[in-house]
Amino acid sequence: MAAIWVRAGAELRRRWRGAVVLAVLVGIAGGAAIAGVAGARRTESALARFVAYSRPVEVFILKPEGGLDVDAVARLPQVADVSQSAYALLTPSTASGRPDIAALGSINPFVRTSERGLGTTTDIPYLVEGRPADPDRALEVMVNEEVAEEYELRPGDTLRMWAYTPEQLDADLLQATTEPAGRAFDFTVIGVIRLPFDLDPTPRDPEVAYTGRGTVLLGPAFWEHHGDEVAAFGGDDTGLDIRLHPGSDVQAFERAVRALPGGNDLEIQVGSEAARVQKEAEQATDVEAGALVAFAALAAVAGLLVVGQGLARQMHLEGAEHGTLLALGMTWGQVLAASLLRALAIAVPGGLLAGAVAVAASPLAPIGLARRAEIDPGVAVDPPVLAAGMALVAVAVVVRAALAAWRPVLPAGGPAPASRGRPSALQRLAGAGAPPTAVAGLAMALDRRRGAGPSFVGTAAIGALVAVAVITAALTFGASLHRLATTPELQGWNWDVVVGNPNAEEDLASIGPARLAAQPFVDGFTAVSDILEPLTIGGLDIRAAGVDLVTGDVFSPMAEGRPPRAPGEVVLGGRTMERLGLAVGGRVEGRLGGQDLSLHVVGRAVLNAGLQFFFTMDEGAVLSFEELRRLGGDLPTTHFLVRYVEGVDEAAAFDALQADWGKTVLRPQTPVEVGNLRRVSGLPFVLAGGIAVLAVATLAHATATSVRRRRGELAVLKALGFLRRQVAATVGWQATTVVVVALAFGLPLGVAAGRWAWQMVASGMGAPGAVTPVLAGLLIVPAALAVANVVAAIPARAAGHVRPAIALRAE
Amino acid sequence: MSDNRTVDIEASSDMQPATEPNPDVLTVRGVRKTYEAEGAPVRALRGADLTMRRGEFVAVMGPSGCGKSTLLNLIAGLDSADEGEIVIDGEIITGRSEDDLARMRRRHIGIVFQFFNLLEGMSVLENVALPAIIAGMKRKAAETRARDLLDLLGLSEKAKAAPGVLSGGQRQRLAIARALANQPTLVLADEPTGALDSEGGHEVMELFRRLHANGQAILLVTHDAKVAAAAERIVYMRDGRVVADAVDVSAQARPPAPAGV
Repeated sequence: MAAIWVRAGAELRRRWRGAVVLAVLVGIAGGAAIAGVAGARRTESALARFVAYSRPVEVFILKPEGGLDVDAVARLPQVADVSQSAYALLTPSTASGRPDIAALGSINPFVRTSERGLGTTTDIPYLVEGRPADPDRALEVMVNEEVAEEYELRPGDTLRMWAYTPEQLDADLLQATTEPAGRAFDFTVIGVIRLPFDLDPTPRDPEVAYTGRGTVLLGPAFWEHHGDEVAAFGGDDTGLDIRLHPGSDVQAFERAVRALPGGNDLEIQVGSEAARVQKEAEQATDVEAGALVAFAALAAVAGLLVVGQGLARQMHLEGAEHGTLLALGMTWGQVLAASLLRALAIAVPGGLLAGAVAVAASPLAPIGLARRAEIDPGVAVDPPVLAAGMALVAVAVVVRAALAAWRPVLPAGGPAPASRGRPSALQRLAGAGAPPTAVAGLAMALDRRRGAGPSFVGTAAIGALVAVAVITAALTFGASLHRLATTPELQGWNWDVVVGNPNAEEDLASIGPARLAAQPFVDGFTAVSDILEPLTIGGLDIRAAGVDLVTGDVFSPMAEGRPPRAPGEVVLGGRTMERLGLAVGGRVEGRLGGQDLSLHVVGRAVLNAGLQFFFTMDEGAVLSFEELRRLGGDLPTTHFLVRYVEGVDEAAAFDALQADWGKTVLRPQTPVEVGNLRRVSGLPFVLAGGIAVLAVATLAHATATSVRRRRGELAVLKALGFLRRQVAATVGWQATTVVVVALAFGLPLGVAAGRWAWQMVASGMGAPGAVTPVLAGLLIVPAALAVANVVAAIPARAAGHVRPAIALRAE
Repeated sequence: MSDNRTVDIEASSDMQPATEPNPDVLTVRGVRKTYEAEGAPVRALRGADLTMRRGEFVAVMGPSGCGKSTLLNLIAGLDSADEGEIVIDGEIITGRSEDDLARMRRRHIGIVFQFFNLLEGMSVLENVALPAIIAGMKRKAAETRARDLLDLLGLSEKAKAAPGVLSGGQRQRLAIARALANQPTLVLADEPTGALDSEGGHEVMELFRRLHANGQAILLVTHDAKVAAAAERIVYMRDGRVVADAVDVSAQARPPAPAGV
């Protein structure tokens, strides 16, 4: 054991600079990988933690007047909190201070009407700036970031809002042009807040009021002093906001409420807006977390390549003395143990440094949408990931060192290493009349003689191959995403605008068709009815809508079949069809609104939220109005899908519709799923860029090392008559060979990986297949060759200056 | 190994075992070795035979490629024979595992290479102490012993220096000191003067003479007749076999080398 320590200590003293550099590289690469994994976990959990922190209302009970004992509800074992709140009809003012009636609904004024509840014991906001409002001050409010940004508000600023009076409640406020009859309130903004539903990834259109998610939180003092001046939904005696204990049985709670005196006919709404938003937003954060895991994996691979080459180089240098040590009586196990002990001296500080780098980088996570959900931003320590990561980093270094050290040792003074012979490709190349510089460069790149040390082509080519493959994959994926993101038809938008407010319950059947038909630029339109109750097929609850193709056959793009027209016909989204195991032409039994249906699947369409507010891409079911009528439902026409006449001035058409319909004209929006992908679409290129930099560094290092190691061979070439520029060209050919190998394998591998990744994503969205960016792919070839030769230029110049007499004497 | 064995190359008795010694320190019988090189087999040894008595100084001569160094490597246990038998101090070493051969080297073999093969990361003292430490001696005892050896070989002032600062002759003296660290049964030297100038070569050969005079068995491979002349016996090799053997001859009385040597 003493001999092992003596040897390891001596080598460490001798090569301490190299060890320090390697430990730092291990720390950086390992730290990036650990930070990636920890960041992914933080990103993935951010929304759930935010929702848990916020304690959203989960059950809302519409309470008939005086019919339910609130205290009895509060005493039920499942109940954590009971409170009351109201939604006040206040609209913001224009820049001139007058009521902005078009903005009604874009800001949601929620009022806490009880001592507990909204903002205190339920729906607790994350305070971004300022302080919580004083519940005893009627005009102190907190606004969410959307309001703060839209109206350029900071704590201390004033927000003027105009009140609709209780008498105006019956008016068509959202789709008409009713002025508020109440007074103006000048609220003082005390805090800027964030609530889970502020993270709704559904895009917002400032021209469409119902897509707004502005929030103003008002306290009980406002309700006490001004409640009778403002029109409001909710408030005293009209409903209960209930939060349950975690893990409570909601159905048991519902049964318990119904068993209370006056509870039998209550309307009980289960499920929170925060939970819905969490579910939708987690689709985005899952993509972001996945991207971080991919980043971590690539950082680990790149780190292994770079550090591995350095370790292999050190082990090779050290290995030159292994024969001597064996000759002195050390066993192979002792020699290996000494090498690994030295590797441990790199691995342990490298692992510790990796941990420190990961902690230092932790404020960069979470990323994307999850970053806004993080309730504890800044430095974070994830002990399990940190401990496992540091251990893995250290083990990886030792294993890599062991692999580098575990090779046949040439005994000191032993026989000369045997060449494996010249590869046949070289013979063919030489026979084909290739220039001697090319043959020599190729031979040097492909030579893997025993004892020649870590292969030049091995590490550098793998690094370059990974870089080429990742760049190509990123380009392929990016091109496919770009096509989807810039082509609304591929996202299911087969119409120009959606007219009407899908959230309003007003039936537009009587006024809509005439108003749209009167517009000369309207080519066709389809009436839609949002069906809020799910259609149940095969045990699955499916979001559904009814359509009436009034004129022009305006409908979602059909992947197969045709739109629904007759009773009993249904069109399904591709993903829904897949989940149900159905095919076009099939029949299926379902249930809607308590009635049984027998449906004929007449088509598969690319559905999206434009058709029905709650549709996700490629999921949902669309019935015909005829079927809805047959069911006897009294479902309103909530909105219309409108297609313009071809060639019309779209901006003028939009203005005309907005003048007629107010802020309820929605142009194509990027679906949430596509938006999620676009949010992380730059990450593959960042990764590819990082790997490309590492690959270039690896190639530069490998070329320089190779020139140093092969001084003798280069000197022989000179002695045989090579000119200085020919020796330099030989080195250039060597680097070129590496890149050609990388391109030959990396390009097809990258295209295949990019197409596969896209297919994985696209198949869940009904999106078309991948696009292969042929031109961009072809541009990689000259770019990579140019980079290789630029990188090789300096070592090549050094090679050209090798002095044969000195080099050969040293040999 | 005892920690307190003294080092005195002038006192040959220290090198003799206390029990009845085996008269032959080395026996090589019918050893064959073939290498695969450039796709074609190279028959390096084709039935080599050699015997050395205790305390004998033997030089092996022959042209390049005759199998001298291969023979040396097989005796050192650095390579394995395809056929035949090698016995060192009564121990058969052919057919043993690599680890067994390593342990055998600790007891019996000290090697001096043409290009020194010093461990550049270690000091002069550490280079000499290392074989004893490998053999299991305590570090302090090994260093004490190494200092004694360096003193005897005139390198004590360089004990803390790196091998890289020594002259060629000094480097080879250091390599010899290292080879003697475990008081080996047999010192093997492969072209020990090949990388030295004439002064350095003379210095080294003088040292070998002193070692031999004190009873150290030495097997030296060289192609230099002047170097070989220091030995008491010269063995000629050609085409992988020992073709002539001259025992205890002076330079004048020495038989002519076989044709081609």
